[in-house]
Amino acid sequence: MSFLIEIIPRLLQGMYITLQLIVFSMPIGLAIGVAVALGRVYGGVVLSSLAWGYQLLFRGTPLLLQLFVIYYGLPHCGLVLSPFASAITAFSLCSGAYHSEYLRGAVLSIQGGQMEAARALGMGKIQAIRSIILPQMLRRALPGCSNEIVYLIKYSSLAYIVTLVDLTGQGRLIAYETFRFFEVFLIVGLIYLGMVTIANRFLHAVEKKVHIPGL
Amino acid sequence: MFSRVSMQFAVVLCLVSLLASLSGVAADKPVYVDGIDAAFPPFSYIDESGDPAGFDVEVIQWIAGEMGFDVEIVPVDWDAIIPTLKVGTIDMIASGMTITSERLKQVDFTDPYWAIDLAVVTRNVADDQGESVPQFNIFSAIAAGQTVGVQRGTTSQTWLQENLIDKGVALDLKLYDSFLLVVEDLLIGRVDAAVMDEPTARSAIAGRDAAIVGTINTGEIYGYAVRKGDSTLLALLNEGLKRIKASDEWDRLVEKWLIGS
Amino acid sequence: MTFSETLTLIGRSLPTLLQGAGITMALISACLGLGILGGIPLAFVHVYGARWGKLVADIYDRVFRGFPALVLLFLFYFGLGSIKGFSISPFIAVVLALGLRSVAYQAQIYRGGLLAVGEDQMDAARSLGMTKLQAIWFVILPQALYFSLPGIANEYSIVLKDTALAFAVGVVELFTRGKFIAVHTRATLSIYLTVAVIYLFLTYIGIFGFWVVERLAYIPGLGGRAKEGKR
Repeated sequence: MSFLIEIIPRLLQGMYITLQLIVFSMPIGLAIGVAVALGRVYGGVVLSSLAWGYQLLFRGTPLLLQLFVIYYGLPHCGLVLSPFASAITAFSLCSGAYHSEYLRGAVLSIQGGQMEAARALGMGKIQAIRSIILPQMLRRALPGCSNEIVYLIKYSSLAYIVTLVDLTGQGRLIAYETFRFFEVFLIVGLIYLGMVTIANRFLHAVEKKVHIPGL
Repeated sequence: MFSRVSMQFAVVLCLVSLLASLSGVAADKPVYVDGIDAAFPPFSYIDESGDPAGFDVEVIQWIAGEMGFDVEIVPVDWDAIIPTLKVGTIDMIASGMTITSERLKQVDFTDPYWAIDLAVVTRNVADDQGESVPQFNIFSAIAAGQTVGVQRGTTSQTWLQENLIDKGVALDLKLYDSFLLVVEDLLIGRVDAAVMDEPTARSAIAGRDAAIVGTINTGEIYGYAVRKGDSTLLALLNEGLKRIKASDEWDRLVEKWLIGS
Repeated sequence: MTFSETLTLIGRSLPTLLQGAGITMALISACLGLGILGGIPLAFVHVYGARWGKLVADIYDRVFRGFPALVLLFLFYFGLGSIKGFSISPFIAVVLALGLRSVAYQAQIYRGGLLAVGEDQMDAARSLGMTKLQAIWFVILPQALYFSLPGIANEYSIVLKDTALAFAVGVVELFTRGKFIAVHTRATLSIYLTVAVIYLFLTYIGIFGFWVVERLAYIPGLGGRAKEGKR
């Protein structure tokens, strides 16, 4: 028990990094997802192909690889990002690709007639998307996107690759020093489980709050 | 009926020999697994073909041949190498590993076979004459406010932590999987200085825009590690080391890998 | 590096990379297989189980879907490995960690599949004189598995990418092979892009495979009930 108390400060240090990573990557990832989904459904040939290519790349390759390429590979092209910026970029891009699939499914599930009706009423394409499609799309994709947000919380544990010592990173350091692997990683795992549970509850509450009957 | 019995016998024989070969019973020499750092030239690394190479790799292979055992060399994440030894996946560590009192609590070491110091590396910049010169000197490189990169789980990390950070020098220590990646980031500009074993420093910066600006005389000595209490393997390795040091092979390998030491 | 030099390097690296890809495929097959073997029974517990069964299943679900994959890898390899007398190979540790995790995720997929089949089919089967077990085996399960195919294809691609973490416990697979070469030759982008292409290939071959299975397994009229929506 005293062991637990000893390591808590260091774990909290790590958790601070983890939370920062999640807080920034989540909205950016979601925003990318919305843009890509809309690009695929309503964009012209060029835009939707680009969006499709982005999805292919970021859903078909491991996040670990993406992190390496963004952190160690991009500098060869002249783009140097700080560890934090690299991590946020990688997590957002990866997350965004998954969000975009859920959102795309949601858009497609909205009856096509709605877009036509909106246009018939004189709305521009963008206005129609903003006022009619987007609110429905976000609500319908919420379960899938919530799932992806939970994934994000867990795969933030890869941040050690770009020298950020997050919760898992601190856990590793402690475990390698003390050799008490089972205890350390059990505690670390339970902390993630705690974060995931809180996130799930929160997202569930959001789902209920924004629910529109008949949607 | 005779043919059926002999068929069954043949099948059983095949199965037994298959099982025997799988479990290594058929092998006449003991096999030991050597864990190495995959990116720690000149002592141990994995080359482009995926094969292990380096000073320690060749020494261990020679010792294995001389002492009558087979050695399998596998790369392991360095900061997890002692736990991996304890778990039993590997039987020894022959990879430029410094003997420290902390490590001696966890493993047994062979007699020392090489001595090194730590080197401080910085990247070069262009001076007023357009010449390529190191950016810092050894004192300014690892001073307060600097970002210094090291490999996780190494004596460089411990030295900086205990002698500078714990004593109040506010430098930002960045931890990497490998010294080679530290040098990459040094050249990219995300760290101001790197600290690592000197032979590795020389290997890592060869042909690149970086320089060793000084050494920290830690007087470290390398040894091969085995599990605590594994006296059989320890004796084999110690005897093997004695023999190779007495032979021409030692000079050849030192010349090949560690010239300039 | 010139373009032709880069191509030569990639060509020289391919054998090693493909060897790593072989390990990756071995890992994914074992993990996914474990996931199927455990996921189907677990899904049944989720849907049809008694109260205590559902509770245990729920805890399993929370742990294996709440812990990050990396943490599970460490727990299974170092955690189990440090128990006296217990020896675990890195490969087995990865298969257990990612496989048991896949069990939890796949159970959710099959659960969805089971629920999509609809209770009325169970009623109909029972009314024809089948026992609950017969109904499940002959009527419910085949349909549930069919509905689960897209979900399993998705799970395949997710677990495939998680295998890249395997070096954390010492298994050298495709990504790690690439990392060694990239770090040694400093040809970062070209090597990692090659590795990315191989992963894309492995991912989409697998997904294509599942799509083929879906086409082959299709029975006209299947899923009529589910498509009509709630009664």
